[in-house]
Amino acid sequence: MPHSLRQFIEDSFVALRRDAPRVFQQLCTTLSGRCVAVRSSHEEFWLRFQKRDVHVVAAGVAEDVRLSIDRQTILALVDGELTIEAALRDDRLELYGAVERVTEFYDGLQVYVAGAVRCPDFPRLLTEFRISSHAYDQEVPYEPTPTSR
Amino acid sequence: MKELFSPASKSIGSILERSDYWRRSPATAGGQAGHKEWSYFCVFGDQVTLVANLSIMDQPSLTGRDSGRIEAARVVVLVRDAGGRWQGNIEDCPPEQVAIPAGQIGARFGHSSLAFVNGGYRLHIRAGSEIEADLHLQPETRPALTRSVPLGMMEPMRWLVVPRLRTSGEMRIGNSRHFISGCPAYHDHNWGRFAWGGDFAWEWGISLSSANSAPWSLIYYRITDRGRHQAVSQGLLLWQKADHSRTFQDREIVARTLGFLRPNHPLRVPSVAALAIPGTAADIPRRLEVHASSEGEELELAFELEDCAQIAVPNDSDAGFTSIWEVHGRARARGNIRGERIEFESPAIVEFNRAA
Repeated sequence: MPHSLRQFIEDSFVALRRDAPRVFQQLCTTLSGRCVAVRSSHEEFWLRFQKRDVHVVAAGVAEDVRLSIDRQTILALVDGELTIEAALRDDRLELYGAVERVTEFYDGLQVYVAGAVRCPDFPRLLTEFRISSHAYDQEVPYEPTPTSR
Repeated sequence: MKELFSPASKSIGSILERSDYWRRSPATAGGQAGHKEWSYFCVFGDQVTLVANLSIMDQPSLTGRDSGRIEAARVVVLVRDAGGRWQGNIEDCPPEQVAIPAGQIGARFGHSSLAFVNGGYRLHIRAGSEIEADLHLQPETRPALTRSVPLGMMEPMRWLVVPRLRTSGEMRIGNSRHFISGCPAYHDHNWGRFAWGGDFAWEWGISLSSANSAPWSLIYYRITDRGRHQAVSQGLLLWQKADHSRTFQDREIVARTLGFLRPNHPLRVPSVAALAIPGTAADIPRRLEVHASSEGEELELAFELEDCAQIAVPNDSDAGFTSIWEVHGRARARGNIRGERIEFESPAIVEFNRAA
């Protein structure tokens, strides 16, 4: 069954909460009160960070940072084939938001990765995401609706 | 730190059978968690240098929750070609593909395995689809065991070292095959209970002269506090042929570093760590000099460092990482031991442990 990016993110938060609780708490603290919109291929969802938790929601809310990225770019970043700087330069990763908010998001991303490498379940989640990504290779890129913000 | 050298009356193989076995985590039997253990090999092939590390480490996240799965088994494989290009990865081995019988040298780590047959190691490594190695490593020096490597506040680490092995076999890197015949190699086995990110840092290097009538094997180590302001222990160990010849320790040694190595996008494993440790800052010297002297004997060892790969290890007690740098270079040794003149050059690997 294809593994959506949203499902991967939700499962990863469950793993972080369980296996790296201190890092998960640090992630929530770093991005507390912020909302991040994620667009990838056919998907769009929002991450709402609170002081002690994060929720993944489908309905549109006002975001502080908007992130657009495709699955192959995510895997290239994970595999070390691409740096974030190069992904930004090549428009494979797009980040919109006030500079302070984007900087916070980047700090949060580093905390998230620091937690991910401490979770025994992460390699399995990543493998599932990688396998399911092959099914998305031919998909039509996400086209935002005109109602967005 | 005191080394225990093995008696000359016993064969090297029988000594290793009694000492180089997997201890395993006490936590798997209800004991204390925090165990770390690894078996490390470095092979200096004519065209390729191989670093392989088979490890088990207690996962802090599973402490007290799932003692049967508390040990994470991993294989780190790094290869460096003659042009200074590194490849490699870390493989997390699924528990169902791991077999590490306590008390034995042999073990299975996913697609890789280690065996001890007729006094020699059989190492099979498979890292993804790109790297494969089948090697026979025959110990040529007597091992030494150190039981008191101080790493922070927890109990000391144990370090069993076999400075020189003679290696034969084959490696495949991508579509290239490399035949290994009589090349020198180094092996150690470490175990203990300590925390990554604790108050320690280390550097150690190996230099093995080319195989000739009187091969020399040299190991340098230096353990400091995390900030590297104070050396806790340091040593320079020398073997001639099979036997330990001389150890210089602590105040008999002066070490200094010069310059900075500026690697251009060094290999970093696991690759995802690049997102958490951005940039290419390395904090590695260009040159490391060690001068040891005592009782009329002296030894100088200089490492000229060339290129490197980085292993990122999550700290146990904070969200940071410890970087273990495997650095390739050339070593030059000169000295006078027991009236015998020493002078040789060799390829070298120097490892730097830096907590951030």
